[in-house]
Amino acid sequence: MQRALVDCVRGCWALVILCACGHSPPSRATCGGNFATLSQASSATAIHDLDRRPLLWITAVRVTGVDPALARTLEHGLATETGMLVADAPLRDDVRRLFKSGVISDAHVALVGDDEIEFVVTPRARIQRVRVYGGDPEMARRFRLLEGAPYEPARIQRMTDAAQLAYIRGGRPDAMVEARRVVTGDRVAVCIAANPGPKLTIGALTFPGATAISQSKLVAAMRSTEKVNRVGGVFDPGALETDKLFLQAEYWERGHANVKIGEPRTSRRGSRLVVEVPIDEGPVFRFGRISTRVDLPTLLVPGDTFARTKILEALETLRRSPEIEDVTPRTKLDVDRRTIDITFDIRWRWPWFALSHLPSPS
Amino acid sequence: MVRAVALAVAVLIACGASPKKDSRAEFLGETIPKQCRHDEETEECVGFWLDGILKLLGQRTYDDPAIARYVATVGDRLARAAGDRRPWKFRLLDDPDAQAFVISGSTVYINRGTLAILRSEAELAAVLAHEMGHLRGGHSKEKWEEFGRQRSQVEQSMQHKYERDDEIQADETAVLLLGRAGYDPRAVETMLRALAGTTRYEAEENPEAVHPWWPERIARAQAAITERSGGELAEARYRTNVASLIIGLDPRRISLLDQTVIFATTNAALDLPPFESSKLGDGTLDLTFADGSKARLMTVNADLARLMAAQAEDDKRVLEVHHGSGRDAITIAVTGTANAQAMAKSLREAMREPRPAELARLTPTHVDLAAPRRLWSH
Repeated sequence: MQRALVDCVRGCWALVILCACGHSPPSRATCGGNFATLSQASSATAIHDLDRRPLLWITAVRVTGVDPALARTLEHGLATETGMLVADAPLRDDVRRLFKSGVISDAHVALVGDDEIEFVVTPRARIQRVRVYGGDPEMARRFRLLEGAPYEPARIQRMTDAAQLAYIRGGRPDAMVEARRVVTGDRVAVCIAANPGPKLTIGALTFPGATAISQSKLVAAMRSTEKVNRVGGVFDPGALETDKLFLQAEYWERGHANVKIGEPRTSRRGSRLVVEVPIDEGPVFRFGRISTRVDLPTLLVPGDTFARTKILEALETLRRSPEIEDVTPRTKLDVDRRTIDITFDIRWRWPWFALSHLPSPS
Repeated sequence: MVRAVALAVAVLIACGASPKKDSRAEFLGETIPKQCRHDEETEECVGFWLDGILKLLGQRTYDDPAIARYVATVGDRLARAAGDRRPWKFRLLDDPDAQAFVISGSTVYINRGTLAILRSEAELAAVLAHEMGHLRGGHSKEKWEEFGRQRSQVEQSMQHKYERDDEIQADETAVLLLGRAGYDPRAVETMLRALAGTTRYEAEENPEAVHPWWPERIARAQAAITERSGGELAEARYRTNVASLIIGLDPRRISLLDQTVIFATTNAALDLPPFESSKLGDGTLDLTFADGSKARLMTVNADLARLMAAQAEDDKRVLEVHHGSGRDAITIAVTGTANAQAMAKSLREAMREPRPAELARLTPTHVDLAAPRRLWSH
């Protein structure tokens, strides 16, 4: 008995220690003060002396400042050609093209001799070292593959954005991935600090304002996979953007043509997220005037509740007609009368095309 | 195709239940990885099943063990240089198109058509290293994790940019790996020029394309190479090892000799009834007859043929299967006639073994590595 008590006390102490460890906030991954934010500004493009000599004929165009083989590849992409007047040469566009290649950090255009155009470029500095703090090993490996690559701030920024987005989509809404750098001569050291934050799952998903459609039907209308944007799953704001379209379609099926699906609101309850998708259902609309030159028996009846699929069915029926080439529906919403007028613009096949232009007996 | 994928997936899912009980379970002749016993969503396990799907869909391994071994040797050299201890596999596929790819896991696929446009071992290493770069960077894994997930338009547009960055990173990794493995990194540039030479050159960049424009890829490779020099190209070794490579369609798989279609690798032949027109593809022969009926004869993986036959029965479509020798079967599908069933059956029943004289006429074209190739140039 005594032994059991001792074991119990030991166990409790272990539990207390574990709990204490669990509650202490994890240290945040940072790069330290030596690293500065990525600078993405390119040097201003100088086009020396050329504006003053617009009537010169260009006799040669070349790229200098980089390895000759690379220079030849870059020259290939230039639109400035020999035989052009300087005034007509797309020099600024060409400088943009050179930057777009991703391999240079600076460029200017100079006139050599009296008639030769030279794009003087500066190759990008190289990434000598990549330090990664925090994050998962896979992400770290991807960033470390940058060692030896040209330093391209915009690309590194995209990579950090992608890594951060992947964490957020994986259910870590607080994820932060940040890149910083230190430049030493033509060498750059890059630091990546990744703080994925805790993984949160959805504890509750509600649709405030929804009365016409049950919560379960609204959840069923969403097309995300079962692990996303569902209770027990993770919250993916990007996927919810598409889900909102499906929710909207569900309302359009029931006459709520003016429904507004709001921006989702999230709040925390421990490690669970409460997600609210506000819905302003608006009034129920009915079909108003149906304008077409062919009969649409029973398909669309003025006064019936508006439904998107009914229009689609009518369209399909019309398109099956041998005399009809194509149909385009137009809708006109009357908010006061809560009606939607539908006009089917019909493109007739020959020879019905000619017949359709005959005066109507009515 | 979609139907075939669905079938294959159904079979794989059904088979997937067994490995948990038997650690030595095999699928299509390959041992199911240990990872699949614990978590079927691991990169290695997903890669294994997708590899199975490819095989079922008729993605055939090129039947020249010496060349396949050579490709694997080059790949292993890169893997050692990378210090990456995953179980790399380098699968040489019997496909005449110039293409290489990875799906998931640690398998790199390269078509025999790619080998035909390369001229050195270093260039082969460059292709393999590019694909390894995708796996090492986790690019493929990310794509599979995202598969089927909805994305907003903004996210789709961003994702496109990220995928382009992945391609750039794979090229850069190739430069790095070649240097480490003792190959001349300049081979990455010539490999890109050779691949660009096989595609219709686009005068302007295609914003929809995942791969950056060829001039950009080449410029980036050149920029990455600038500070790295030395290493071997191993052109002579490449010529020696790849000399027996077949280019274009392999006539031994399917050939039309006058009125007879020969499936040498399946050890079958068929004397055809008179037909109006024929079209030979990679493993397929399409025939049109005078009465408007059409027949498609196709060599496919025997397992897939069985699945197709079962599905055709359910759908009440006409499909006859002839199982010759070897791993492949021949499917016969007839359409456009009321007697489709009888016609397909009679074609199957008329299958015979090819005669030695017929087999002697099937001479594949071998690669000429001394011939000039088309390179993208300035």
